[in-house]
Amino acid sequence: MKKHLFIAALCAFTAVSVLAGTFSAAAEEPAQVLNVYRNNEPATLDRVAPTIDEAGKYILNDTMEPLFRIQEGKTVEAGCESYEYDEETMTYTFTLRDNQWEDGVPVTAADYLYSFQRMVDPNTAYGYVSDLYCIENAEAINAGEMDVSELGVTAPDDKTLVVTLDEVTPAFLQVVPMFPQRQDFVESCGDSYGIDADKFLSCGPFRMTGWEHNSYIDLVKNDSYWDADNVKLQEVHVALTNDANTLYTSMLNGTLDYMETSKAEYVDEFKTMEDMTVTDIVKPTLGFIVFNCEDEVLSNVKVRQAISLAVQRELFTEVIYSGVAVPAYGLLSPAIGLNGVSFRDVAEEPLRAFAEEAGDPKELLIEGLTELGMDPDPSKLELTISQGSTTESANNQMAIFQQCIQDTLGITIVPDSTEWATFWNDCKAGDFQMGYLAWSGEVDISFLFNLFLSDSAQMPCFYYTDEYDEIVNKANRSTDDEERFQLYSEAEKMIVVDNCQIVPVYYQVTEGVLRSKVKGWDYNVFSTMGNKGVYIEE
Amino acid sequence: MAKYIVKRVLYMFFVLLIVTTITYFLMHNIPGDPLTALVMRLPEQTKANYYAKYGLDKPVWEQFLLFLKGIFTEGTMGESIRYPGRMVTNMIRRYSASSGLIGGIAIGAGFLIGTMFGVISALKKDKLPDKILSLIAIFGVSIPVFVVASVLQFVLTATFPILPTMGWGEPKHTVLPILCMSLSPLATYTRYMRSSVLDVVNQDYITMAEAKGMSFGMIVRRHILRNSILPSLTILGPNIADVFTGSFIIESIFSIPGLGSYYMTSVTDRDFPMIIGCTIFYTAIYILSLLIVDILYVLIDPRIRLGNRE
Amino acid sequence: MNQTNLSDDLFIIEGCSAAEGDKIGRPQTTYWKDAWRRLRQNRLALLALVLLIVIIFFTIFGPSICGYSFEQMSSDMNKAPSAKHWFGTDSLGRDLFARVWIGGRVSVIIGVVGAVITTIVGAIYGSISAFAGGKVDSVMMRIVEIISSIPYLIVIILLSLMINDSGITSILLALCLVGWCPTARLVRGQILQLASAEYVTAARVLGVSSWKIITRHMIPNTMSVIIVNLTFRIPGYIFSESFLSYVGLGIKTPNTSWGMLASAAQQNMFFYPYQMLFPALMIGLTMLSFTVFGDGLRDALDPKLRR
Repeated sequence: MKKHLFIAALCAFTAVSVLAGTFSAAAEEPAQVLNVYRNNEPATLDRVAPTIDEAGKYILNDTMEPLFRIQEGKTVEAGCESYEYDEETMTYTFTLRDNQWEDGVPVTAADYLYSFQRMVDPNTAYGYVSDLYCIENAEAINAGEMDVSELGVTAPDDKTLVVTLDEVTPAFLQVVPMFPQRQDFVESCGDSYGIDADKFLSCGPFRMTGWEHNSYIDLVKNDSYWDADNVKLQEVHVALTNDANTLYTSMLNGTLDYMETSKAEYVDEFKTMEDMTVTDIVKPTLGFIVFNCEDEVLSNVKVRQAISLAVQRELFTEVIYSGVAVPAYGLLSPAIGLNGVSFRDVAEEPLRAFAEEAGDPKELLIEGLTELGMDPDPSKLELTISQGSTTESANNQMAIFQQCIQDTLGITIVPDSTEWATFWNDCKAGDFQMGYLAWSGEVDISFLFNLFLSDSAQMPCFYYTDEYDEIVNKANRSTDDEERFQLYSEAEKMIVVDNCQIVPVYYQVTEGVLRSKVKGWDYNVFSTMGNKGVYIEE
Repeated sequence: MAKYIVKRVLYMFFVLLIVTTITYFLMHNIPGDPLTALVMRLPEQTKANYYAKYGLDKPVWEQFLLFLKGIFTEGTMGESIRYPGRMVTNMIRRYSASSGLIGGIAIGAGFLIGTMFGVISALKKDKLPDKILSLIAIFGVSIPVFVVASVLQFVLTATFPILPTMGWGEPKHTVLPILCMSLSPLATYTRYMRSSVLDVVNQDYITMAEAKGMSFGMIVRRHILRNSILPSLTILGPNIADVFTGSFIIESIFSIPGLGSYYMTSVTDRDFPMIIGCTIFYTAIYILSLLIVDILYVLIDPRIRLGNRE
Repeated sequence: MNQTNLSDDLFIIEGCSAAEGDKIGRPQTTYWKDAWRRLRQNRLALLALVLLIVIIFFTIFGPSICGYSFEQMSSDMNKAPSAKHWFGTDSLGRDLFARVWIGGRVSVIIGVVGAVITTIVGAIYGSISAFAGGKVDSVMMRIVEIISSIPYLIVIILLSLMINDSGITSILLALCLVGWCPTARLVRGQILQLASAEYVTAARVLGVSSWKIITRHMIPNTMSVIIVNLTFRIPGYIFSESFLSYVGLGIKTPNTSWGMLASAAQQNMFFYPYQMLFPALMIGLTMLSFTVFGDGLRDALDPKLRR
């Protein structure tokens, strides 16, 4: 009954908006205004600050001009017109375009140099500084042993930037953010650079005209941008909200032109609407359970493997994501790859083969318990799964793990949900048994593998092997794509099967709902093209 | 009166100091710190630098003394850790304005309309207006605010698109949030007013006023309102403070740049300076509103004198 | 004014026997019997009481009536209320009838136990403060003042993070640690007011012993205030719990509460309104019943109305 009323209201509304649309369209060109949203307030727009987040990077794609952008998984020149790489000296020479800041001052090589120096400066505390250690002297500077002026980056003239590496790094252009920052402006803002509209200077396709914290960000076309002729949008309005009902209502009434959701109810509804386009977007994110391998019971690999096999991934994705997410039997999602080739197209998921040959997980568990010298009766075993989220969906996910593992292995599973900081604090301290979390990969394929390296020890599995380190380090240095794929697939097998440090559960897939009048949308998850190529056409 | 107010304000600073101390040590005892909540990939050295920058490497009592020193010598509560570059005092000043605007109007409207409803309800006891108003009051207190907000938002922006869905800056953006936030105070004051008016109407002096031939409107204004509004005033104080913290749900649904959401997220982010700054702010608001209510008491009821209200 | 002539024949002598002159117009009853009699006359309060009893009955026996376990998932996901599932099912196919009553158990326990504990603590604290008087009293009251000036939400959140266990205990403890202050203040005020009341002074002058004054006057008159306060505080705790659940700091899975069910349903409320309706209705009904019943109780226990 209620549903019918609701649909009727919806139809009426759509009819009105369609009518309104036809009248206004007949009169003039469609307004080149795009309404999008971000889930949270950007903590900063200073690209090298330790708090830079996804929302901040999103705004920077539109308001800044890095040397390179990523399109379809490949790097394309943006702020740089061309570049040369000398393998002998391991030197990159970048030639810049004639671009200007929004106040008319030309963008020079010194601006890029300045941001490089800030990134390695230990006082900046840039979070991903280890990506820059491949640059000459970067590590020493970051350790406070050298002055930033000794960094292997120079600007011989206004249009040329030279970067000297001290080790071969195939992913250099992809992982190092090369954004310009103007020294005089940054210094005039002091600590508050990048936290307000008037504390920020654009040189990208758009400039920022308003930033109401926790509410919205307004961008308008930047006429002094070098490629302004190809930017069609006049305005981009970025709402800052994460309330699911607000987003849904906003899509219905036209407040937003795009939303991402994994809710089947929303998707089914939007699919029936003619002015909406719904697209699957495979994310580089893996949802997984990490084992604390120092735990008495979980120190045995067979116990870990048995639990991994007991998780019914198909059931999980069906119930939680209505079949939209992809069941995961490996580490890397299909979104991740090398130079436009997906890793999953080349490498089989290692857990699939293992699941077929391993047989009954319960027997594997009993074997493991016997090896440990413990009571082999599974019903006496109790294990806790913790997670750092208390949302309804997170709770449901735990309920499914609990049911699957209990039914298959006959052990008792205790779910424990706390808020993130408490959970992560426990994980790092090793005060947990199994931790359920999700981690996103980056455009650089090595990102997720590096988490398991013993010297980074990012993943709280407390089990790191030299063999694994060797393979991954070799892969990271290799320039041959085929060899890298081969090495990474060996490393992946170690993580999910041989050492079984984690239980991969699902690769995240969301649905992008776009108003059909918006054209030129780039769905690629790693794209840093921003809204430069987007336009409205009714 | 001036002497009394000065005394109360001085006492307020004493209470603030103690509340700050309690909260400070409480908050340093919860698991996790700003860095666990925030970044995960910092090298050890950088991490140490970062802790040093915010003084987190020092023992808690020393941090506390430094914090007090900052307040008394420079009037600063430090820099937010979650949002570096933003000073806590600036953030509070900026965001409390929008929270205050929405909350203030909502409470004000709730108080005025609630008082009116309460009087009507009591005077028409057990008749239709009383029943309708009581029903409204029941809904106002018993439906969770996130339900009301989402439903109203849907109805007034999608079914009948007359208001903006979210945002901030123009008067039209404040309508929906104020509407949602005023429901609960409206209901509370209706209830309080109704019962205290019922107490008053049976008093002898009302009969006396009637006997003297005083007009009905006069009786309501002169006697009933004055005598029955005191219980409502008592809860006005705590209510004002509640509006600031409780506004968090409304702020997140309507994307309002208010202080409530910062306060909530500062806890999950372990943003220590922000937690303590907001706590001081809210405590001060609470104590001040109690003081204002006390002064209002005197203005309304001549029997009460400042300083000896028990 | 009209003055009518009254003649003797307008009056009839009804008579009055000497024996009846001594009789008291109303049978002697105890305070509680009297209160119960007056409460029974208040139909609305009685209805609220019945409703409360029904709700409590269902929170105890409801989950076993429907024949489903509140944790058991099934393939009937997001089904509307039907003969099979009386309140429908949630996104994991769990029966909502069972879940609503299991959740009610937690909510009602938090409400009742929280209110009882804080009332007892507050009453003891308040009466000690009132009887001690002087410096002790003013120090004790300053402590109450300080505790109640801390923004109470932040205290609850910080405490529940600090305690961090999965049961009701942490929430109860957090709610109780700050919740006793208003009751303490109320009880102290009431006792002080009574101590200076004219009939207490009169009793003292007449030579009634202190013990008798306490048992006859102080306790009954304070009890009523305390009990009424108790019924008003229960809904407050139920509501606080639902707010904590909304923030994600409420009770933990697999346990559930009305607040948890409501905030979970919020995500899908436009598609499955019934998932929201039942828990929200229960919160509303319970809060309403306690308030109405409290109102009735106040009227019934108020010695001023004792006629």
